[in-house]
Amino acid sequence: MSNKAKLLASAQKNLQKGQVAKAIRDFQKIVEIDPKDIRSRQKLAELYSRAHQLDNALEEYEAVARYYSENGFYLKAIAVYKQMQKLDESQVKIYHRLAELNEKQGLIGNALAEYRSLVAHYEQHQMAAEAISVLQKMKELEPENLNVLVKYAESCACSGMRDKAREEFQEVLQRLLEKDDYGKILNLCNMFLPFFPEDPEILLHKGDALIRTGQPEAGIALLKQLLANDSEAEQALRCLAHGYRVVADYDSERLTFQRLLDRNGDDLDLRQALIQACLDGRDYERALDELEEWKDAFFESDRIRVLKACYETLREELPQNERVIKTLHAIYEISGDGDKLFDLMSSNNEPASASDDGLVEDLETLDDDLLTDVVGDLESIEDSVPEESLREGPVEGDEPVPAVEENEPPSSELPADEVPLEFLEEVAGSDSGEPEPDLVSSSVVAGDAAAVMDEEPGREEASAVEVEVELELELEFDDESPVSETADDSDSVSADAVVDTATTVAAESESTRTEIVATSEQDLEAVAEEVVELEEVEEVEEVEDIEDIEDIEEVEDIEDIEDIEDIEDIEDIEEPAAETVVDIPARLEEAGFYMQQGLFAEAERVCREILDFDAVCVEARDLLAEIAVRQGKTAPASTRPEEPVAESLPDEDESAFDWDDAFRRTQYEGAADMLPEDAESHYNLGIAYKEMGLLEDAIKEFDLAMNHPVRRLDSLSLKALCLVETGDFDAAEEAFRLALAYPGICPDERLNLTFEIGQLKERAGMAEEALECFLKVAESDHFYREVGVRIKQLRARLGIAENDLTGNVGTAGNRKKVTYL
Amino acid sequence: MSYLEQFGLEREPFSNAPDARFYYDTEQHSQALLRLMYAIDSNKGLAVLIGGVGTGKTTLARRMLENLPEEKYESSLLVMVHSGITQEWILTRIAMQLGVEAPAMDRLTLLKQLYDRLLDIEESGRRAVVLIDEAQMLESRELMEEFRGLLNLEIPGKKLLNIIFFGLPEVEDCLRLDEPLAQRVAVKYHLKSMPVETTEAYIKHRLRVAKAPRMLFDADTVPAIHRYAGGVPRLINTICDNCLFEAYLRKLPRVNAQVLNSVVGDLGLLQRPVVEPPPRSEADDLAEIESMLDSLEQK
Repeated sequence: MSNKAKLLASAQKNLQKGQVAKAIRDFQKIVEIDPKDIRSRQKLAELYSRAHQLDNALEEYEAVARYYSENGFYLKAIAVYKQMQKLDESQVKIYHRLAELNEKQGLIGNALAEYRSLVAHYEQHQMAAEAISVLQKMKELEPENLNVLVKYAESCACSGMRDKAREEFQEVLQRLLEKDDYGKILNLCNMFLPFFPEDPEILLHKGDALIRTGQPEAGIALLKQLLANDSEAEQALRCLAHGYRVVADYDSERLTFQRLLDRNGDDLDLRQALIQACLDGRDYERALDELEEWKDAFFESDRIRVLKACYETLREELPQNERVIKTLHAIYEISGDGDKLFDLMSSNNEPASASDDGLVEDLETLDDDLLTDVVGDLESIEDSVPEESLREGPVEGDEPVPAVEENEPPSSELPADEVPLEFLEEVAGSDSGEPEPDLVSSSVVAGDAAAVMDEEPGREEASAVEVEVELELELEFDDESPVSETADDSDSVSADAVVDTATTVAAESESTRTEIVATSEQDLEAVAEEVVELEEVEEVEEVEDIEDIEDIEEVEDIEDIEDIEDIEDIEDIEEPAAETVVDIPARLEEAGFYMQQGLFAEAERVCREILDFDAVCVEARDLLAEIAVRQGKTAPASTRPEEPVAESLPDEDESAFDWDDAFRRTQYEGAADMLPEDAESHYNLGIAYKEMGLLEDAIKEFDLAMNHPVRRLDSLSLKALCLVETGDFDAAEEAFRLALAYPGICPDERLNLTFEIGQLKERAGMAEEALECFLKVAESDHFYREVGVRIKQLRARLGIAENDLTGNVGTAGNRKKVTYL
Repeated sequence: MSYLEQFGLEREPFSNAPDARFYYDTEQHSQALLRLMYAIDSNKGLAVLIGGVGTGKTTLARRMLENLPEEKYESSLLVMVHSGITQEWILTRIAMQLGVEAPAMDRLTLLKQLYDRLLDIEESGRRAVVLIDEAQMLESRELMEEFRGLLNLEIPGKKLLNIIFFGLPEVEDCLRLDEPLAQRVAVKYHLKSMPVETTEAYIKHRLRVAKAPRMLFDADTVPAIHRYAGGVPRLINTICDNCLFEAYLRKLPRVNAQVLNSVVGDLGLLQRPVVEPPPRSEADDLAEIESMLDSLEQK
């Protein structure tokens, strides 16, 4: 026996006796004899660690880790460095080495985690430059990680590197804008405003984000504040207009667009938006004026569909308006809408010949060359313009537009500089304090109404529309006499009174009501300056009531439909039950298939159907649990005892930037499309950790590895074994059962997992359950891992008699029946 | 100390003596049993089970006999031990086995007695079944004709006697001695040697029945045993039994490759052409059916 072998034997003996110091001396000698004996060095390091000789342990570990690293065994090196990190968490160089090695191994998430720890360390010790340097590395490592970018920018800002911080902020902002992630934009702006409190860009984006994240009033207020400093800020005006649209304050929206148009009158997008605001605000005459003035330009820019839609709206609202009919006629001629043209002509009792005249006349309203072009391009336009463009078209890139003063006449009649920002103040009265939109809108409408009344005296068409509407209502609610009266009486209403009435009503009604009031008002004001009766108010209220009733009926209808659908759903589900045959294995297989395809919802549905039929189906339950885990709904309680993943993953507030979670998010986001080689790396690292006794780290790695099917089953099994070693039997069993539920598992694997569960149960002191598992294994293979012995022992311990096969007699009973010839 | 004690066994696991406790229900054995029972229960008259040496025909015959309860079947197993048997002798033995108490020496009287007995059995709601093991020994035309005569004992629409032959492939030659009898074969099934997976399960089953506390064969020895035995159960038993004894002599806890090589050398199986039996496939079954149809056409 060589000297080394003797020393090894001696060390072994000493260890068995618990004499660590002597064993250390033996290993020291072994290492002296053979310094390249890495296993002995590692053993020596472990013994130093056991003897609390940390410096010595670290020194030996370092040598081992260096050896592994230099020879390309990065995973083993990582495991050793990890062990060192556990021994002394304050050693910065270990974090660096771990990050580098993880990076070399392609384990980006792990590398980021190490860097993150470094950043925390540097921050704790107020070493800002070092922290920024590490963050720079993190950014290079994973440039798409927004959390890292934000942290980097924030650190730069904190360190006074304002330009760099601003630059990084801009980068993050652009990324978020590309994703339309306004929740995060809002958080970003809030985070950086303390550093750049007057920055108009940040304020602008915050205002816009507020509007888009359900806080339009606050957004509008902020944008007004911004415009107070720079009334020409076009982007702010556009955002403000959008804000007004969101709160359905179309008059303010129109005024804001008008303000923008004052400076850029040829912008047809803005013009279109303004017209839309007029239409939505029921200011049809103004809309018509705008359209008539700009229709040639609209034709020229291939906006015939927009024009058609606008004029059709106007046709409904102002059915007798000749300008509308005339232009619509021309549009239909050009667009080839023969049916509509015919309808238009017949509804206006036009003689057939009038068509030709009308056409000639209409065509005169447009440039001939222009028409030719338009007709030529018509089909492609018709196909390419989506329906939504009618509403959203006006604002480029979905960017809305700003507002202007209410009581002003159309601002086109005013020089731009005559439109002060007072309108901001006025509107702010409603916006800042939690708005009473009814009041605000109605007062605006009233103001406009007065103005319009002066401008345009004749509006017979409007009253006709109302009569028509009310007649319809009358048909539906015959006993609602006030309604019909209203129609008759409407002619005798003065505009002034309407203002009062409308205001009064508005104070009591909801925003939808206000719109109705506005409609009524417009119709009425065109009639005359006569006395207003109180019935007017009642009438309006009645109309509203009827609409409410209709709404309710509609809702009920919808609910009915939903009920029917529900019933149908139930019937669908109950169908298999009615047949009383559910092929559970086939259904499980189906669920497994869905799982493999990542169709978790379908898989879940199938599992639930199985459970409906067989409430105790363990496989279905296991699959459901697995679905939950893979969807990230709940992490297994024991998976990360020190890191409640489910809690820290920002599911609850997706818009939050969570630096603490940055690296984990990286890992988990990557998991969905993890490459097989990454899964392999995590799996192997898990094994290395497990061998080093770093069970928690091993579990983390197995958790990651199992996100790819290539190592899912193995990872689950090994994770379970780690959990067994940590004494977390429940979690271990859960992992084993998840593995058992894995689709397509082969019989040998099933046997192995069942046996492992049996061992686990035995270790947890649950002898009967262990016996049950072992018996299940023995059914398939009585000698699998000597399960027969385990069964015998357990039976003896539980006092259960063995099954005796002697009852299965031979041919003795039939012996007389056997004859030899 | 016997090898039973050394290995913690309660009985010999690999004895070749018939013992229903060791019956291992392989897929093909259960398929065979299913078909033969079908032949009986539907009064098909004649069925044949063919298999090579040691493939489990006798075991199956005895298993079948076990499966025929007295309240439903009047059954009997005749094991042919020599080929010089006469028509009268076999007729008398069958009559006695089916319950004819004093068989007449006269052949015609004996047939009448047998017919009456068969009618009694029929009236009691039971079926008469005669199983003939080692049927390849019935190598005379007269004997075949006698069986044809027995199969002709019937009442309108129903045969009174069912006969099942268990034998080596040569039994088909015997059947051809009487063409009309060959045509009366309603069900025929061929037993093949076992595949390696079944061999492993078979060995484990027998060990388990013998109450072995653990697997007594190294994992690599099982495929080798299968190869040397050609998947034939009887040879598997012989090899395994000898291996256990050899391991016992060598005081080994289990059978390893060295022990196995030694045993197969002693048994002279090393020189035997080791051919992996081809896995049974659907194509095999079809070929078998086709060959059967061909032979019927020739007749």
